Amino acid sequence: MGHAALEVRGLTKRFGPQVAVDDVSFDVPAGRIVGFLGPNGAGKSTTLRTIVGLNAATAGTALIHGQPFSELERPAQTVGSVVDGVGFHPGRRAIDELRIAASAAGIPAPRCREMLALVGLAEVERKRVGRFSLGMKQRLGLAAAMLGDPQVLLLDEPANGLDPEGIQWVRAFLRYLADDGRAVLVSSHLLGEVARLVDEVLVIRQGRIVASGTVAELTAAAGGASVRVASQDDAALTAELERSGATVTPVEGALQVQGMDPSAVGGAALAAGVALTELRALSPELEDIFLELTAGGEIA
Amino acid sequence: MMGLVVAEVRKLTSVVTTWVLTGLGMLLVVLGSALFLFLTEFGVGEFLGTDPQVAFVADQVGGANIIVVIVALLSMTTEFRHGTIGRTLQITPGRTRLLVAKLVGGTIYALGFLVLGLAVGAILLAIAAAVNAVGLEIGGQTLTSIWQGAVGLTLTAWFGVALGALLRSQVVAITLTLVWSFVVEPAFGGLLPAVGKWLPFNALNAVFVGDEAVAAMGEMGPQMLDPLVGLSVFIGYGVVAAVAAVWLLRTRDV
Repeated sequence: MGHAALEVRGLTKRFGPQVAVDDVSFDVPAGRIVGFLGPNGAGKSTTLRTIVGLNAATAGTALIHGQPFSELERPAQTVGSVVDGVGFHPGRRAIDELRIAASAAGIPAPRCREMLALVGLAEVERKRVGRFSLGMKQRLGLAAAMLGDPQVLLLDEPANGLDPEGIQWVRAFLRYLADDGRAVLVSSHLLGEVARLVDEVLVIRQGRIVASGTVAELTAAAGGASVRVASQDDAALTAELERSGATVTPVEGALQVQGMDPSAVGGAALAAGVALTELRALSPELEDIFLELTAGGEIA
Repeated sequence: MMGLVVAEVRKLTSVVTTWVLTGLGMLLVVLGSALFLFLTEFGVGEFLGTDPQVAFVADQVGGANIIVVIVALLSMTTEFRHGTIGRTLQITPGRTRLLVAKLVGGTIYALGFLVLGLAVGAILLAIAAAVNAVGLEIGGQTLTSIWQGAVGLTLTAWFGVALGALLRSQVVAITLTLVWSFVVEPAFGGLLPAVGKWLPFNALNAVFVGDEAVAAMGEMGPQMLDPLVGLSVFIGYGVVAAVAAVWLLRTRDV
């Protein structure tokens, strides 16, 4: 059986008595974008830093194509990362930063200009990084991560500090990478920022994974969709719905129904002979689910 | 490994700081040599272009080792200061290999500094020879000064890289080095010379300050170790610092 591009098993990182990452396990398969979500301080960056060996794991393993990062023969050609706390020398030109990385990794020099062009920084390759905006630094980080044409990408808040246009660009860029068969793990503290981008989500809170799955699975597990219905006789409709096994809650001049879809609610109204004045499906807000999870809730 | 070394040299040459410090180092060489060559009351008499006099100028390059140690320190501490160590280690997870590449990079810088300094010294010697209408004698003493300079500056660079890896903080490393070399060691040299001569930079200076220069300074001169003993002592400090740096780099989180 083949390995996932990235396999994390029982990863734990302690700083003295503090447990920053606690028994975290997950996979990132090739061709998928996995969102790694959690509030600031939840353990996202520590997890990513531990995967690439900047922090030594207290316990557990992180394998990339079946090997720990430290044992990869050509690390820059296998994993590209933008990790918190990893920066550029402000006095160095953008092209020099990439040339240094290329020399160390045995990557042909022309690739540096190609990557700067890919992230839209070709015009400023001679500019010193200290004069770059945050967004330009993020793009340069992505260029550095892509230098070795790696199959696994670990990106820590890559949209942080970007304007809406930049965020759109990052989304399109990551989707292009995943569609090209790469495994992408992208962290964020904002679910809305990555919800439309990711194939799967991992939610981390206080160092532990508290939920995982697709966005649809998370939504369903958080209580699923409900139906808002208003009628000319709410009492009769409530009785009919409850007889059919639904849970009904009165809300601001209407009823909220869980356990039935809109067509079933319409059928129940017809059976009760009640005319409806409103009928619509409600989806839980993603941010509400995220906040609930990261504030202490847990989805099995 | 070759690529890593090229990357380390590029790191040094792609920042202005290295060039400014190198320029400062050349200024020290010019000042030290010019005082001796053109203001003869500071030197050892009239300039005749003799082998010991040429060797004295060559010694000025090795004497500017404070610049080499600071550049070497920066090659390590800058990585931690700007967070570039993370990217470096993502490309080169082997931390021992990285340190070896930095030591080699430091060696290349040290030897480059020596060559540049000798070129500056040669220009000054040529001017002094023309002014005094004398020839230049390059003999065994000059050659000894040059190889001692090469060895001394290389060891200084290694010491700086290792110290940078140990201390990590740029401000602490540079402050400590400057205070140590300009305050602590001279103070020990003056107040407790029997102890002071064994301290790292005093031990290294024993390599650069020739016996004749010490003799010329008479009783006012510092106590110095024998050049070979001084070299051995400094190597000892360098080895201890390098071993500790490797251990720390391998065991501590970045």
